Amino acid sequence: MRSAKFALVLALAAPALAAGDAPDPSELRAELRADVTAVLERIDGSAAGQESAVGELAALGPEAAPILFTALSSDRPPGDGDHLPELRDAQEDALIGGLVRLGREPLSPLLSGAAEPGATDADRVAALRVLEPIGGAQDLALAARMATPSTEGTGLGTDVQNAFENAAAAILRRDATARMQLPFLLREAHSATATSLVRSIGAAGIRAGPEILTGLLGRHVGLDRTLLGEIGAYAEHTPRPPEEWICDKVRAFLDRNDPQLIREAALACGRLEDSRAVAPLIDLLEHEHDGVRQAAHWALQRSTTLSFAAEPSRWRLWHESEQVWLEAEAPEVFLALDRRESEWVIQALNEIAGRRLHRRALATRIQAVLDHPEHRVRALACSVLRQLDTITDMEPLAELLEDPSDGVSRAALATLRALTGWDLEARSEIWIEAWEQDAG
Amino acid sequence: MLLLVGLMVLCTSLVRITSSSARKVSASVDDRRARELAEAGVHEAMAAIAAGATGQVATIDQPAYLGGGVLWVESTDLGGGQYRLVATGMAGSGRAALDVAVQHNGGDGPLFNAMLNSQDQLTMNADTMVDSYDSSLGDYASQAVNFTAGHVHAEMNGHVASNDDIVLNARAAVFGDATPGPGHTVSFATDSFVSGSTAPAASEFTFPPIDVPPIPSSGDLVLPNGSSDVIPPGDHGFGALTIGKDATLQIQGPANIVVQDFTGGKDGILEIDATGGPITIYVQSSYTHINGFHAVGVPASPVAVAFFIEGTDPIVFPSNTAILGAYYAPEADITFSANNEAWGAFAAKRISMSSGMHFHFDENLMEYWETDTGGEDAVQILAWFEAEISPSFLRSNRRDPILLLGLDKATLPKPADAWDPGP
Repeated sequence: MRSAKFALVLALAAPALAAGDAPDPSELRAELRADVTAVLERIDGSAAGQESAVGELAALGPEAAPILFTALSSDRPPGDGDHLPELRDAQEDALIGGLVRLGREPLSPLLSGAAEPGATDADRVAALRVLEPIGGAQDLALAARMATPSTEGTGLGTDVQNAFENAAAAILRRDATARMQLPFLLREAHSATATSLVRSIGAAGIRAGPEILTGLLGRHVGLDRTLLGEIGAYAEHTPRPPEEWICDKVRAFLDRNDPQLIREAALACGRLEDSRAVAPLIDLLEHEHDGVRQAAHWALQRSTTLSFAAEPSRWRLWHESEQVWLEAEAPEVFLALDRRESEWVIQALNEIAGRRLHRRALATRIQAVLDHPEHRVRALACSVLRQLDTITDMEPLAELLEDPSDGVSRAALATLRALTGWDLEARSEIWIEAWEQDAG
Repeated sequence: MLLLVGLMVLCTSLVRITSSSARKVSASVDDRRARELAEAGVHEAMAAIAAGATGQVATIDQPAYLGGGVLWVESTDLGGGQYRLVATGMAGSGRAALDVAVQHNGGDGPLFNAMLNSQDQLTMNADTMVDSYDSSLGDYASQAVNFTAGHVHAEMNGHVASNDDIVLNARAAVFGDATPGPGHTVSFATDSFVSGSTAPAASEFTFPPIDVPPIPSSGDLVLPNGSSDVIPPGDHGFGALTIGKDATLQIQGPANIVVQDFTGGKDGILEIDATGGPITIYVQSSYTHINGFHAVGVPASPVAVAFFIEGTDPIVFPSNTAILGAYYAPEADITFSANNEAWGAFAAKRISMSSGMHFHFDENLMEYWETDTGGEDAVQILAWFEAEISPSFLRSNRRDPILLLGLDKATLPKPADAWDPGP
């Protein structure tokens, strides 16, 4: 509407223009600022009001873009003087919505300007907040430039850092092709920016997140601690078991010389519940660095669900007994699992329930028993999976939610809830879909 | 034929030997499992005692189920905070019992045991640093004689804690532990450093409520600009306590002071004389800290002053401010502006800071203000023996405990759900 008004003004002014008497651009800008202020003041916090405000701001036309951007950047409605109140959240959201709806063309010079070395932090934050809902792969490098400290040797301002991580995470979620730029960006970026980029991968919560992060290990100086932390955080927030190669790469850091790295690797191994890390973690209980010892202890408790004190001999005793069981007894137990006579299977399940090493491998074997013809075996298998506190495949367990035996379906639901932390209805398709969508 | 029979005998013998060996291995493994269950029972009972329960965990008639076996713990209160725990574990053919004497210390622990305690995410901004010192041994400068990871620092008990994530920005350094909440992590940026542990806490910390002593108010206490006054030891109550511009208020400890609002005016001074005991200032509503206001200890006195702030208004320390003392604000946010330095300890709903902040935890503060931690550290083991399992039929009959005791596994509780709360 505003553009039409502009055109009408120009048409009416054409004779005056021809006579060399042009309309005053400053007057037009003043009118636009007043219009923007009026729209912002009318925002009442309701969803309908919000949508209406966004529409009105966008209707002011591309000429309003710099005014909307300046208001967002300054956190004040357009106008002069320090007396102007700070914007409310709803007003900020309306400005962002209005800018987004104006389209890419009027935004481009504003975004490019915010990526210049001399741009203020306020402009960078405003630009990143605008990019967050619309940015694509082509904007990731631009966002990274906005998040580059302007002075060598300094870090990022907290506001810029947070805005960049939010924007980058949103871009990574929205556009899968953005991930292909990560190795290049991490190689070229300022160290502070690179760290934020790694965190944004974690914040994105995408299925490929752990693989992306693990693939970056060892390739960029100074980023490994951040990467190990983010890999562990991913594992913390999903019941899905990690890929073995991820565990292998993380475990390799337990051999490093740097206690800071070993500590973070130990914690990551714990979050990944990596059984093969148990032996080196037990050795780390005797490391000279207190933080490493504490991390190793925490990781052992986390991986095994055992609560022994930080005594290496106690852990080694347990570990040896588990190894003996695996070598001497496990083959027979697994054979018993494959039998169809329920007494053998029950005995085998009870035997497995007490084990704490290689729980995932044991859980995989137990899942094969979930379709046993006898209901008490199926119910016991669910209970044992809960005791092992690990899940490798959702579908066989979820299908038991529709088991003809109430006892089995109840046991399956209790196990699913305990293992995932999800509180979903007792319908298999809901659980299977949630598992498919789960990314961390 | 003879050869065939011989082979059959040999095979049978081998099977018997193998089975016998297997049974021996199995029995040994079962005994170990049973012992592990008994140990788990002891720890469960200790946690129960620390939380105020009796220490009894399940019973022989309805034991707790864990990892394929069962356990129960009988607890006897011996008085004086001492308990006798007899923990029994059974798994397969394995049997184990432990007889343990424990002492419950009442669970008192220091209220301030970390420099920064933030319920919400704690972000250590770029170039911030946390270390520790002991004000009873002298001033900070005399103890800041170490150099690590590019920082001059004092001791390494400058811990930080959060119930959420802890984020370290570029070159932030914690000379102590950085403990995030359960399920949370510490995130590192370039050249950031933690000297101690970064393992998450086992459980979230809770801020105990502020127990304001019932001291009546004697009205407002307002120090005019440039004036001075002294509050002697004892209990005192005021409406508003205001230290005016360039004014000096000396408080002599031990003292408990209850105020509605507290304002430290521009360049005002709070002199702390804690040679006789600590000073606790309970602020029931708002705390205002104007530029230049600061606390200082009189000669030979530790800066043993703590503000316990009940209100929810944000507490902002303005830029270029030196902050001494402990601040406990469980319902408020604390913000440190640019170029601040702090000696003491802080606990708040959320702690925010600008770049370059330096925090120095005063280890001396742990001596003065305690809280009931309720943690397992409050219960200590005095003695530990392997006992004979009782009743005797459990020793002689080595059948699986579920079958032996006629139990329905589906109905057995987990150990944590089997505490006896007591009367």
